[in-house]
Amino acid sequence: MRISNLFNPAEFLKEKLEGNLSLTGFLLSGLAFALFFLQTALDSGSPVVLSLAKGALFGTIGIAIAGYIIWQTVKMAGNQVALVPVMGAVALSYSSTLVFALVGLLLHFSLGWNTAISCGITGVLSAFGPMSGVIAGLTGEKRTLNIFIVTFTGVYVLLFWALLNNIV
Amino acid sequence: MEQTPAGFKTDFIRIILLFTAIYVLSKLTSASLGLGPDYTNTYAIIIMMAIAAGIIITTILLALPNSVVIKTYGFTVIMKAVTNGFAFLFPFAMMAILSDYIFKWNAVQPIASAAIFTCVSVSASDLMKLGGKKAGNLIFSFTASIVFLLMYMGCGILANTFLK
Repeated sequence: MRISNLFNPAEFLKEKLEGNLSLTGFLLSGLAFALFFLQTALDSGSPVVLSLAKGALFGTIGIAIAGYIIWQTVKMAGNQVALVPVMGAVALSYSSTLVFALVGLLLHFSLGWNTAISCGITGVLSAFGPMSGVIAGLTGEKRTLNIFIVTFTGVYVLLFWALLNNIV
Repeated sequence: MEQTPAGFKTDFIRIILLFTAIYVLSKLTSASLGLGPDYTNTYAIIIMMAIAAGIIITTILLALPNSVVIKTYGFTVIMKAVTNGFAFLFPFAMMAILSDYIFKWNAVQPIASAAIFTCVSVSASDLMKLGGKKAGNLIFSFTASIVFLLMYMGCGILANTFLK
């Protein structure tokens, strides 16, 4: 593993899993959001199984929809890329969210801390770095478009997380 | 003559996004501390100055492991990489607005901390793509993030001590 991979785990995974990118990406993002929603349920006292299911669905279908919107935007900006790899790459960006979710759950079960915000939201925010690298590759270094796409994805994830967990 | 590599040209919209993000994060950080109305604007200006100083320090620190890049493209490419990296403050500023005004959370400080780490690492990874030293960029970007974060947090501690 190269040192540069520490900056961008999604790119590292993309290189290693070129053939199974989409499936691996959705498995990772599904698991990441299932655990993130589980943290929220543990903190708020909501039903755990329902939250896990909602998280897994959002991590797969919800992120696939975000990937589709990003693909359409990138296409409208004049960059021809295939749909499935874009969806897979976007989903794969949430690999760091999975790490934060696991750390959050470990802290919750060992020390009893509420970690949905401190680890969960931080995990979602940490996906911005890898995602910017992935999207820069898709947009052909159109940096301003890249910033707007990352902003859209962040707002989309945070809003749906809040709506699905009755936080708003 | 030195050439600007593709994707490193600084455009006007990105500069506007950067300044908007700095303004939003400064105002929200200032409001989150619950200082009196007389001090809120003063503290917002202090935070803006701290962020500007943090960006300058990041530029200097990231120049150290990228002597090869400077030799090829000139020092301006470091400034452009840092400006482009910190334009990524904008998505975080939007998250901070969302959390503050819609969710009613007081989460601007953790969001700003995550923003600082992400923006510095985006700048460093851009410079690595141009041929900068990988280990050097990792070490100096981490150092720059810590220094930046200490300045940002330090301003909050000082404001809580002296401005209340």
